[in-house]
Amino acid sequence: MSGSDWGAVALLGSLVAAALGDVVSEEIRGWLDLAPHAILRLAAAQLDPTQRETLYEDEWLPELCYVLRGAEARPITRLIRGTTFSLGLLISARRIARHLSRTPITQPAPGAPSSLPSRRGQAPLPRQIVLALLTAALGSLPCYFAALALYGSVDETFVWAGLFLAALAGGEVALDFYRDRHGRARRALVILLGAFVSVLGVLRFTYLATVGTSGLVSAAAGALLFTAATAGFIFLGDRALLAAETPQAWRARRAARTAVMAPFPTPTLSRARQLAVYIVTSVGQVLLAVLPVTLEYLVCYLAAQALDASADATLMWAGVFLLVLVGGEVALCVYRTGHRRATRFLIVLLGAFFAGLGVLRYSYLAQVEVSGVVVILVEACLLTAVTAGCFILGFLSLRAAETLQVRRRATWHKPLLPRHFLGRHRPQGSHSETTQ
Amino acid sequence: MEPPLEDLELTPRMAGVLKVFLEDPQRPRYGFELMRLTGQPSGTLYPILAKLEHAGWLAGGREDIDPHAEGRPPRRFYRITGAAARAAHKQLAVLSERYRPPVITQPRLTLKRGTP
Repeated sequence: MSGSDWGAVALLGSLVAAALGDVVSEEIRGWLDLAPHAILRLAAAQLDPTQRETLYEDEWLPELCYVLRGAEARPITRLIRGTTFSLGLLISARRIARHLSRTPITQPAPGAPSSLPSRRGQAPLPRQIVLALLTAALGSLPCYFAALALYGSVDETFVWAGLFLAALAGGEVALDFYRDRHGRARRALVILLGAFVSVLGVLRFTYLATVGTSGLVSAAAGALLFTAATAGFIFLGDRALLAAETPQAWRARRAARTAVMAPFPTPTLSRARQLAVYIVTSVGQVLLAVLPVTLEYLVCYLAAQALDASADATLMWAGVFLLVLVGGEVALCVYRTGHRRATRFLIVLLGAFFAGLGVLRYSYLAQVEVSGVVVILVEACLLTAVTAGCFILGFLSLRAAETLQVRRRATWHKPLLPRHFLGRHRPQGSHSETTQ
Repeated sequence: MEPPLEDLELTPRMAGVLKVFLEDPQRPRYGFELMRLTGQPSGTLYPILAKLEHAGWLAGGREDIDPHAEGRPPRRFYRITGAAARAAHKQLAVLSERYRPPVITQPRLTLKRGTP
């Protein structure tokens, strides 16, 4: 190519780069604008529905829009102002909600039972439990480091890490249990958990000081960092459970939703449209179910490699891990409606399994990679998060499939199946078109 | 008719908010504007506003704008009620008296010219 050709290519390249830069900066700006809104939504999740309407929709959100538009030309100022505004409200939302839920002007009748305002939020309970489990799973790696200080075999280290994690998760659950019941017991638990986290920190320091070659200061800094992370995970899990609705409210909500779903809607779509809807939803459902499983298999394979087995055995282990995960998804879907205890037990088991997979991945990456501990830790955490995300996606897709089944029972199988079949298996409530 | 005022014990932060309202009692004030004028963060200001409104000291309203033209929803404003303005004047005076530094009564040592 001649010089002029190179010049034209360079010009074209610079134009494309400039255009791409604009697009990317616009995209980043758009995402940054979402951050204050997301924080404000978190704050609104702590209000009850009526307060959410009067406070969040009528006051906080318009004010945030004004704040963001006021600094329209300066994205960083906009981000800082909006985030500061939203964070302030996130911190005080519960206090405002408590204050507004009290009625100081109308005094209670003498002799009426006094009821303390509940400090719990209104966020869906299952989602908050999943969030709490995720934070517990993230705490598995600091526990593993503490367990390493005991200088046991690999199995013993895993068992100790699991025990430490179980103690932390149990403490988190107990903290939530005593939140509205027994203030002193909760305070005692906080002190106990603090002592336990400190002991874990000391263990980590011992291990890092013995193994590391960077001196005591860096060992202390590393131990402090991991201890802060453990405490942070406990705090986050506690906040997640605090923002959750009460089990009674959750059951009432489910009962109300079931009552609404009970009478199936009368089918009004034409057959062709029904067929189209069925195909589209089925294909989407299959994709939603297959994609997470494929991803799960990949991350399970990484965990299985830590077992130092042959290639076939690694594939088999990955398959076993995957089977456990898919089995967990199916079991959760089966048990989630009627068997609360079984569901809770399953969730605890799955959480422990996720933690174990995370530890396996970490040990594998630590053997294979030459990068530092922090990088490997972040990678293992990311992979664990991907596994958890895939699991949740798979679970949600199975839940949606159940909805599809209901929908099919209500609107679809009637036109496709023969009449004599329908006569025997007609679902209750769907009777408008079968009589024609 | 204005709602009955509930007795409130003013804190210095509350007093700061009420002082802004008293500077022009007829003028509607918005949350973000009050944040800037009082220097208080949203997490402190909004609980105070909620408390004052709940106690009948402030009355809320909606900004009169066209949301499509402005590109944002109308904000909520607050205005101090007449009775609250009078009560706030009294309470601010009491608060000011409480926080006024004491007058120093000890004679000051002064140096006269020519003294060694």
